[in-house]
This record gives sequence, structure tokens and C-alpha cells, in this order.
Amino acid sequence: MARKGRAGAALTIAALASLVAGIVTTAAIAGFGPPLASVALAFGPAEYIGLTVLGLAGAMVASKGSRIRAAMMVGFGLLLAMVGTDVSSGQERYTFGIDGLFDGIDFVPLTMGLFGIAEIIANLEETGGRGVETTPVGSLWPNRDEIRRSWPAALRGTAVGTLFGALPGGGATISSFAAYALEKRVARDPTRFGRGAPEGVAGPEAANNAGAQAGFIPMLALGIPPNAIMAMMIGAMTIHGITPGPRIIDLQPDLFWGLIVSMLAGNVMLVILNLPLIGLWVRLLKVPYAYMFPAILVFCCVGAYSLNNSVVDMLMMAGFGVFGHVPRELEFEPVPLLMGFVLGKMLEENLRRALLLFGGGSHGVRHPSHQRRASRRRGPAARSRVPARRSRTAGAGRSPRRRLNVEWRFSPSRSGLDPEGETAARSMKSGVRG
Amino acid sequence: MTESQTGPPAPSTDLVAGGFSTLIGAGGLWPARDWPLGSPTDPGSGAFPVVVCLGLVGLGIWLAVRSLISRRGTRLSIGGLRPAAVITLSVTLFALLLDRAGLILSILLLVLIADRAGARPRAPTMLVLGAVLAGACALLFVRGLGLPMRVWPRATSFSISPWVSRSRSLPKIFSSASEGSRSAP
Repeated sequence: MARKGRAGAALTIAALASLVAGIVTTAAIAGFGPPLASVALAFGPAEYIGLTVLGLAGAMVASKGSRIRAAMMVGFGLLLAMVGTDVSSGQERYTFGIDGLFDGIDFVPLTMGLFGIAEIIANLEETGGRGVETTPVGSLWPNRDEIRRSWPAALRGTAVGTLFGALPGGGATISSFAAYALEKRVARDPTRFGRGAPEGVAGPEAANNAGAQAGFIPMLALGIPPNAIMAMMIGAMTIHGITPGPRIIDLQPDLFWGLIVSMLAGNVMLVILNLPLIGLWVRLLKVPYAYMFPAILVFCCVGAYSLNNSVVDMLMMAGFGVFGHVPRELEFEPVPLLMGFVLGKMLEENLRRALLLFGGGSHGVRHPSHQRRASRRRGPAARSRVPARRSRTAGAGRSPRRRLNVEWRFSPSRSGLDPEGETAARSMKSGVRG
Repeated sequence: MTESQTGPPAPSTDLVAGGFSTLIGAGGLWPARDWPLGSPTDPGSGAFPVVVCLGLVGLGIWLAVRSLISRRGTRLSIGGLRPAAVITLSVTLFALLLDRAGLILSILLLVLIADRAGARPRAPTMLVLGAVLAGACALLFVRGLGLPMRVWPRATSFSISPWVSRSRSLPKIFSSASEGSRSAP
């Protein structure tokens, strides 16, 4: 949109979409907090796999270029996500002995390198070092057509953001990418995206804001923080003697409703602060690029260093600048790589978890969304490792040969122990179902 | 894509992209050869990397073969490598110097070198810009936000941030131990 001279309108749409998302999400928290939280909690590993695959498929669909290249970039992103120490086994993967990579690649140097530095390099190359030509700013207010296109996109983005933000592990980033993919999918003319489609601004901006706010839902309703930011908030609240949880609306209604009102106030203040300053930000575009790009470089570098005071981070950022640039020459796009990176850890963990829990079919952990039979075990401590015979997905097709020397079973009460032999009695009575 | 070039035409981007992906996939498989694969119901730490790398290799081969067969796809044209090389060099030098030479000098160096990546390097203006940026960053990040960054070179004893506790009263030209422990890898 900036290239079409609608930069001011784009910023205004972003601000207003954020406002809409903020208000709707606040209402959702106030009205539907606890039920939404239980829905979010019902997501097990299998559901997370579905979600991450959806996100990655969405990234591939949303890409402008060839699908194969997008799939390759997703693969690269997944590979990058595996750098570091494996959570389940402690195995160091792809660290090459470098201490800085022990915890894996940090999100910020990757993004700054891929989008910041690679962009600078691309701009310098394309325009021979003169930089991108600035177009006239245009009016700051979106025209009627843009408004007409934006507000449904903002509502869709809000819905996506509320859902993805409340999920543990979700957040603002995933919400905005998912919203962009959704907009591209439901648009009548997807080729407009990348060329100035206001839906591409309104949807992700709304999802971004909604996703960030929806993180409060599980935190307030259940006391479970869905991401690191909410975990910090719980820590801060605990210091002040407040315990978020299911009873918070009953025990401390003033806190809960005060928080809700503060969210509303914050969103309104956001718009009041944003809109007048848009003119200022847009004027920044007029600065000649030759002066801009060193400044951008400086801020990127200092910012990357300030995260961990780590030289490795900065070198990685430089590396990703090159690594982001070379694929651009080969017509790759950076967005699928980012999605692969963000979702990679979640996908791998949940895949392994799901295969572990349900792969053999003989692990009868009670799960709300799967009906599984109670397991039969060889003893109190042993875990069945009979893979091949049993189907991975359903509890169907059991072999008639059954072991009956069971003492410990997973009981429906989820505590794992079944001293009354409840499950044994039930399964003997009903045969197949447990 | 210059028609006046003699010799074989440049390979299509599909071929190079396919080769790139295959190379990275194969490269990823090499460290993964030692990692345990586990069983289908209990995947080990090597399972996911191997699957992803095999996928990359497969996709790469597919793309390369497809480009060879159908001969479509744009020709590869490598633009000037100068901006990429210069900017990477400047960021790398900044990274290596920041701990030792301090923020001000590193930023000046970064700006001056990065300026060469542009079409018309203007050294005097860049010097001023660099000084302004360095000063602004030092004030904003170190004094304002209190980030623990070295502002001046190690050998000097200037200190811009009285809140950051570092013993800088003695000029330590040869010290390395106490300073090295501060920056966490």
C-alpha cells in the first residue's frame, strides 16, 4: 500500500483494526472467559499437530511464488528450529560446539537478519544503492473502498487472534500469519495481496492485537499462562498477592473487572496516540535511503546484541542477512521459513508426544477427545512397547488374546491408580470398550 | 540475463534452488547420522531431523529434475554482490568489535563501512550521521535503559553510565578475565 501512495491509510487501518480487535477481545474475555479457557485446555497433542500443520500449510498457500519453494522454506525453518538442545532427550543438535547455540536460535536475530538486513541488501542491490523511491504520502484517512474491505477482515482477524492467542503456545505472531493466510484464502481476487490490499493490513493487525490480549483468557480463568509474557504477568501478580485462577471472578472481582476496563482504556489510548503520529511516521519515509539504511543497521545490531549480550546472536543475524538474501535471488520467500521456525518446536514436541501416547494404542491415558481403552500392562513399572500390531489411530481391531494379570491401570480419574479395580471390572463387563 | 554474454546460458533458478535445497538437506543429514532414531511409537531425537532433511532432499531433486526436463523457469542472474558483502562485513566487524572497542567506535565503523554499500558513498556526511547515531544510542540504551554495554574502549576509563557497575577506574590495557566473564555467550 505504501507503494501505491496509501501509506498513511495503511497505518490508519492498522490502528483502527487494532482498536476493533481490542474491544471485541475484551468483551470476549469479559463474557466468555472461562468457557474459552476450557476449550483451549482441551487441546491435546493431536490437536496441536493439526494446528501446526494448518499453520504451515497456510504459510505455503499464502506464498506468492511456487509452492515447492515455499515447502522448501518451511523445511529450512523446521531445520532451524531443531538447532539447540532437544527438550525430550537432551541431545545437542546442530550446535557444532558453539555455546551460544545451546538454547537454539533466537527469534529476534533470525527475524532481523531475514527481514531487516536481507531487505536492506535487496534494496541496495535493486536500486543500485540509491534506495527505494519514496512516493507521495497521500491522505491519512482510508477511502470508502478501503474501509469497506477492511472491516470484515478486521473481524475475521479478531476471531483468528482470539482463538490462537488463547491457545498455550499460540500468540500474536501465529495469529497474524494465520490471519493473513485466511484473508488470502477468502479473498475473491488473491492476486491483489502484495500489491496494496487493505485486507492484508486489517486482518493481521486485528489478529495481532486480539492474539496478544487473548493470552489473558487462560491466565485469568485458569491460572495457566499460555506464553512467556503471561507467565511474567502471573509472577508479577503473585508478588502482589493475587492468584489468578478459576475463582478469581468470585474472590477478586474488582481485580478482574479492573483489568477488563484497563484493557478498554488501553485500546482507546492506543488509537488516540497512534493517529496523530501517523503523519510523523510517514514523513520518515521521505528521508533519503542512503541515510536511512545505516540507521536501520545500527538499530538492528544494537537491538540484537541487547537481548543476550551475545556476539553469537549478532553474527547469526549477519548470517541470516546473507542467508535471507541468497534465497531471494533464487525466488524463495522468507515468510514460510519464519513460520516453520516458529512452529517447528511445537510440531516436533507434539508429534513425539502424540506418538508416544497413542502410537502403540496400548497406552490408555484418558483423554477428553479420544475414547481409549484402559491399558493392559505387564507390571507396575513397565510400559508396553508393542507397536506394529496395534493400529495407531483407533481402538479398533484388538487381538483377542488378552493379558489379565493387571494390577495397575489408568483409571478414569486420571490419577493413574485404580486400586478398586474399577477399570478392570468395567472392561471385563463391557468387553471391548473400557 | 544479459543477451550479450557468450558461453552457456545461466542455469535456471529452479535448478539452482533445487540444488540448494538438496545440499542443505544432505548437510543436515550428516550430523544426524549419530542421533538415535527411536521407534515409530517413541521417536528419538534424530527422527524429526532425518524426516525433514529427507523431505528437503526429495523436494530439491524434484525441482531440479523438473527444471531440466521442462526447461522452464527464469534464468539465474546474480546481481551485484557488493552490497551483500559490504553489509555482512560491516555487521560482522561490529559484532566482533563491540565488546572490545565499545559502542561509539563500533557504530562509527559500522556506519562508515555500510556506507560503501551504497551507490554514492559520502564519507563526511556519514561521519556526522555515525556520530549522531552513536551518541543517541549511547544515551538511549546505556544511560536511559541501563543496558550493560561497553561504551568506550576497554583501555580507557571513561564511563557514561554511572549505574552500570564495572570497575573502570584503573586503565586495564591487558585485562581479559574479568571482562570476559561479563558477556554471556
